[in-house]
Amino acid sequence: MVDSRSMEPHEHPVDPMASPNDGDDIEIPEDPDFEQALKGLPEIKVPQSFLPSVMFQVYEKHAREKIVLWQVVLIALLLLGGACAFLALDVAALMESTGEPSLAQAFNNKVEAVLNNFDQVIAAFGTLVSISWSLAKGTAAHFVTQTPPLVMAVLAAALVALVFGVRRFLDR
Amino acid sequence: MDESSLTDEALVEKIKQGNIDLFEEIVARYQRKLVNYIYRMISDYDSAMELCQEVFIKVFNSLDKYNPEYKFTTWIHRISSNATIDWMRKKKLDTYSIEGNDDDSPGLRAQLEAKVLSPLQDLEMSQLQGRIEQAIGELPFIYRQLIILRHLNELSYDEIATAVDLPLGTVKNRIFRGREILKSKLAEDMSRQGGSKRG
Repeated sequence: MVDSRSMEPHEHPVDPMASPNDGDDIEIPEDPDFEQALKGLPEIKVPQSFLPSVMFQVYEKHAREKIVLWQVVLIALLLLGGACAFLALDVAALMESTGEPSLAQAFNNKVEAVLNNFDQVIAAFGTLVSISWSLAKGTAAHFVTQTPPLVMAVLAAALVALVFGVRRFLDR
Repeated sequence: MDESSLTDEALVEKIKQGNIDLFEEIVARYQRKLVNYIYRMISDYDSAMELCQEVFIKVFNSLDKYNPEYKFTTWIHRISSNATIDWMRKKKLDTYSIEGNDDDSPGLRAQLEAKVLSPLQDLEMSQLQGRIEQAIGELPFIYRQLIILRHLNELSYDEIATAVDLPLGTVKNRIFRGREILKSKLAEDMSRQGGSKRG
């Protein structure tokens, strides 16, 4: 959202030392020493990531503005149409291979087969997660019971140092 | 065509026509000035970076409202100045305050660019710069803002007057007063230093 106020005159703090002739256009005497002293002030370094970060936000904003609702709807309809076409081809292939004359029955069989496949995939995934969890638990228990406390402390310190190191690296 | 040879106003015109890649050139031209201005106003490095990013995004979002009759540099400084005042008010920092901040914070020191000087020169220079930084930080907001815009960001008096929306005479008067306050602070500081050395 654009802050429109940013371009409008801002209410300015009052000058506690203001005098009635404040608005008069005075001539400010040159002061080369003063100018020199201020010019010598070191600059605050801008990190290299600054520019890419700003441009990323700019592109993101631009892309978001360019997306129009009808385009989203069109893409969704195209995807849906594609999915329906593939399903129809599958059902037709099933009717041909099994000799099933009824389209509704073939569709039913196809959906059932897909759901069975899905069940199998879910079951396989569940088994995989369960095995991984048992392995991790066993390894952690073995590590805690068999490793000397000093080694564990050193490893923990190394881990903390690594986290801080990565954070500092990313902050650069 | 080389975009670095284009004026700010020409760049903005091309960005408005859809060539948004050119906004990178705008950021490259102004990031140093705006970061330095904002940092010296709020004395917080991380917030200055964040606020400066916000300023650039505001600038991009508002390019359609930019009137090419005015100089782009004035316009961008105006947005930056307003965003800084908003930020200070939101954080309940007193924009009237004469309270200063400790500019010798490690955050600043860590970010200062290294200069090739002998160790003694380096020490003297860093002490002097530290004192000037501190004196600027102690200036009341209304003077600090104008001194930074004039002497560090090198805007003309007219440009400053447009950027902060104040009459030219007021700007000149405040810069003059700000300079006097800054000089007296530095003189005070030096005489105190001299006194403590003799003592």
